[in-house]
Amino acid sequence: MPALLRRVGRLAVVLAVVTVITFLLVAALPGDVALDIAGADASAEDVAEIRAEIGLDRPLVVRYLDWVSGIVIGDWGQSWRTGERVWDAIVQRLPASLELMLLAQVVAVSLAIPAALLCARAPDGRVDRAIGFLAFGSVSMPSFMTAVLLILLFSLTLGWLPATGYEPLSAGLWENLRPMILPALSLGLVEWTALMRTLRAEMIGVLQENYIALARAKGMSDRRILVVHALRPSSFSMITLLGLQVGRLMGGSIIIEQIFGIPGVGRLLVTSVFSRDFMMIQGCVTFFALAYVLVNFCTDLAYARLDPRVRGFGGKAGAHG
Amino acid sequence: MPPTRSSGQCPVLRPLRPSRRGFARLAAALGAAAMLAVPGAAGMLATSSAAMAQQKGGSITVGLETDVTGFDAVAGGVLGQTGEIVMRTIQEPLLDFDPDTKEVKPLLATAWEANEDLTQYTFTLREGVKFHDGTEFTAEDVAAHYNRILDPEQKSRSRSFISVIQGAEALDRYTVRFTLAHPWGAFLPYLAATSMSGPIPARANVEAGEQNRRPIGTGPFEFVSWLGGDRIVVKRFEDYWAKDEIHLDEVVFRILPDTQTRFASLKSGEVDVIWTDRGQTIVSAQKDPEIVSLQTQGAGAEIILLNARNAPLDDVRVRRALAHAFNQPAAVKIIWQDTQPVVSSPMGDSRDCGEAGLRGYDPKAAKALVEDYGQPIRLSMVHTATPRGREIGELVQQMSKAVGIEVELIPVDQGTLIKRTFGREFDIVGWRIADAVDVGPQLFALARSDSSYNLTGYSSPELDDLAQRMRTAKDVDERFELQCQIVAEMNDQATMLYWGGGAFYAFTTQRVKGVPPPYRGAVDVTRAWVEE
Repeated sequence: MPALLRRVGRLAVVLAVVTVITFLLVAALPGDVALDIAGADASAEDVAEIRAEIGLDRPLVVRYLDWVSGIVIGDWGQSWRTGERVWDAIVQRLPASLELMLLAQVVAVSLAIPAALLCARAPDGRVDRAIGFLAFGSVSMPSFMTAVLLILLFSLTLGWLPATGYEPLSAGLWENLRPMILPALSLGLVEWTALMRTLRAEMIGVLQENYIALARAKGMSDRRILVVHALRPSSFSMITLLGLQVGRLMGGSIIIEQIFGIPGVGRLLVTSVFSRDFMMIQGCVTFFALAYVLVNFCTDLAYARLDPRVRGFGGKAGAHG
Repeated sequence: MPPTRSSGQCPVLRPLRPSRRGFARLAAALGAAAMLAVPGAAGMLATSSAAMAQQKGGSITVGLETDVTGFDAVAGGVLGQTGEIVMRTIQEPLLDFDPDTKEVKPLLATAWEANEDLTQYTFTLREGVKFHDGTEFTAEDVAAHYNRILDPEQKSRSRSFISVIQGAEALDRYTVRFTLAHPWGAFLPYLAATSMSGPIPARANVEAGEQNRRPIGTGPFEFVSWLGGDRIVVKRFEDYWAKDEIHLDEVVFRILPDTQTRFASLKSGEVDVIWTDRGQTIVSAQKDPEIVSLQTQGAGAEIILLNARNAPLDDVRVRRALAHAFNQPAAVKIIWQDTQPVVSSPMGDSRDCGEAGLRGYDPKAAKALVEDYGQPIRLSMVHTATPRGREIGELVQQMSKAVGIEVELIPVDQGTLIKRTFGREFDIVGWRIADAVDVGPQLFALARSDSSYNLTGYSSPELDDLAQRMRTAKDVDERFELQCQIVAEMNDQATMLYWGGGAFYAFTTQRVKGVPPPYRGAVDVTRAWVEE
C-alpha cells in the first residue's frame, strides 16, 4: 500500500506543476482579454473596469490560488465569452471526444493485433514485408488527409456515410456510430502502425522463449501458441503505447473534430485559445493533464493484471514498468 | 471592420437602403404602410407565386461556420453573419426590408411618423403579437430593450453604432417614440436590420438574465436547445402573428467549421443550406446542377488601410505609389476567383460613384512617385495567419516590390490583428467595410478627425465638413452624393485600397424552397418549405 500512496502522491505533485505551468502560459498569451470583451471602440476606462471585473488586475499569485482553490471544490470558473461554466462545457463535450478516442483505438487495435501476429509468425517473410510496407504508407499519411480522402470516397462518391456530424447515443446506437466511422478510421489508420510494430517486435522476442519451445514440442498449433501463449507476455509495450495514445487523445483530436464537425473538447480548446477565453483554456488543459495522468495510472494497474510477476504494488516493480 | 467575413467578428450596423423618394414621402406613405399591416399580406407579397405548392411541415439543417456567442444585446458581444441567420428565426426587428422596392416596410411596427426636423420618430406597434413565453409584445419591451443598450453602464458593444438615438419612450401600450440627437438618414434602414441591437427580446427574459443562452422573441420559431459548439435547434412557434407564412416544423443549425466538409455535407444532403465566401467553393457549387445558388450583390468592400500617421506613409506620394502598385483585378481573380466585383467605393449598387477618383493599377506612375520621394521605402503589413490573410499579404508584398517598395509581412491571429489596428500599431492592414444599405455611418467613422474609429489617421477640414453634412443631410440623394465625395477624397489621398466588393452567396439543396437571396449576407430561412 505505501507504494500506492507514493504513486498517488506523485500524481498530485504532477498535477500541481501542470496547473502552475498552464496558468503562467495562459497569463503570458499576447492579446488583451479585457479589450476583446469591451470591444475595440471602448474607452480606456471601460477596459480598465472590465479588467477589474474579471479580476485581471490582481497579482498573479492571488489569481492562481483563487483559481486552484476553485478547482479543488469543483468550481472551475466561467467562460467570459459565453457565460458557460467551464466544468459544464467540458463535461458536455467530453462524450464525443471520448467516443472518438475509443473507436479510434478499437480500429487501431483490431488492425494491429492480427497484423502483428501474422508478421511475427514469419519475420522478414513476404507477409511481414507486405504488412510493413502498408504500415509505412499508413503512418506517413496525416490523419486529415486520410479524412478528406475517406469523405471523398464514402460520402461523396458512394454516399454510404455522412461527411460530418455527431449524434448522441440517445438517438440510437447505429445513428450514433454511423457518423463516427469515418473519423475513427481516419485516426485509427495512423495509430495502428505504432501498436503493430511494437507488438511485433516484442512477440518475435517472446517466441524465442523456452516456454514457447515447450508448447511447440507438445504439438500445439501455431495459432494457439500465438494467441494464447505469446500474445499476453508481448503486449506490455503495446499497452504502454496504448495508454499514451489514449491519454493524448483524451484531449480531443482537434483537426479531426474540426473536419468532421464533432463537438468535442479539442475544438473547445482551440476556440478558447483564439478568443483568449483564459478560464476555459486553463480548465481544458488542466482537465487533459488530469485525464492523461489518470490513464497512465490505470495503465500501470493493468500490468498487474496482465503480468502475474507484478502483483499489486508491494512487490518488485514489473519487469516492463 | 475586422477583415474576415466569416470569422463572426464584425461589429454590426447594417442599416438598409432608405427610400430614394425621401422621408417626406415615406411619412406620407403611412397609409400604404398601415394597409400592409394586415397579417399575411406582406407575406403574400414576399413568397413566390408557387405559394399553392407549399407543403407544411418538415425540418431543414443549416450549416454554420462558427458558433453564436450569445443572443443578448449586452452580454452576447458581436452577432456576426452566423448569428444573424439564427437570430432572424427567433427574434424580429421593428421593420422589414423589401429588396425589390428597396424600401422599409412594417414588421413589428405597423406605422410610423417623424416630426418636422426628423429628430423624433413615433411608431405604432402591431397588436396581439406574442413572445414565445406567452406574454404580449408591447411598447415597454421596445423601450426597455433600446434604453438598456444605450445605457453607458451596460457597456453594450452595439451602443456606439446607435449612439445617435438618445432614448426610446413607451407613450402607451402600442406606441413608442425614439428621440435622435440629429436627423439620421440611416435610422429606418437600421431598424429593419437583423443586427444584435435591432431584434426585440422579451423584457422579462432579459431581466432574468436568460436571454443570452435561451433567447425568447416574437419570431416564427422558438428556441429549443443549444449544444455549445454543436447545434442550435428551433421549432415552429404556434402562436406566431403571421403563422400562415411559416411552413417548417423545425430548423437545426449545425456548426461545421471546416469549409470543405461543410460543402461536402451540402452535396451529400446532410445539410440543406450553407453560405460561404470561399471562391473555390462558390465556383464548384455554381457548377453543380444539384445545388441551388443564391446570390446578391451588396455594398461594403474588402479594404486595405494605410496608416497615415506613420512615416513614410504620412507622405501622400508613398500612399499613392502603393495605390498605383496594387492591382485589384488581379487580386480579385486570385483570392476570390472573380466571385467578388472590382470596386472603387464601398457603396455597392446603392449609388454608382463611378471611378470615384480611384488610383488604379499603374506601375509606371507608382515608380515615378517612388523616385520622386527619393528615399528607400520600407513598410510592414499585418495580416491574419489564415490562408486568405497570407494571400492578400503576399500579393501586397509582391506588387509593392515590383515598384520598389519593400513590405515585410507580420502574420498574427485575429484577436491580435484587431488590437493592433485599433492601437494604430501597423503600417498596412487588411480590413473591411460591412455591407449595409447605407454605409454612411461607417464612412463617417473612418473619415472624421474626432472619431476613435478613424483607423487611417488621415483627416482634413474638408473631409470633416463633408462627413458632417452627409450625416445630417435630410435628403437621401444628397446623403449618397456626399458619401461619394467622401470616398473620392479618400481615394485621392490613397488612405484605403480596395480588393473586392460585397457579393454574397448561399447554396441550398433542391428540396428546400422559399429561401430568398442573402441580402446583406443574412440568409433568411424563416419562410422556407421543403418539397420531397
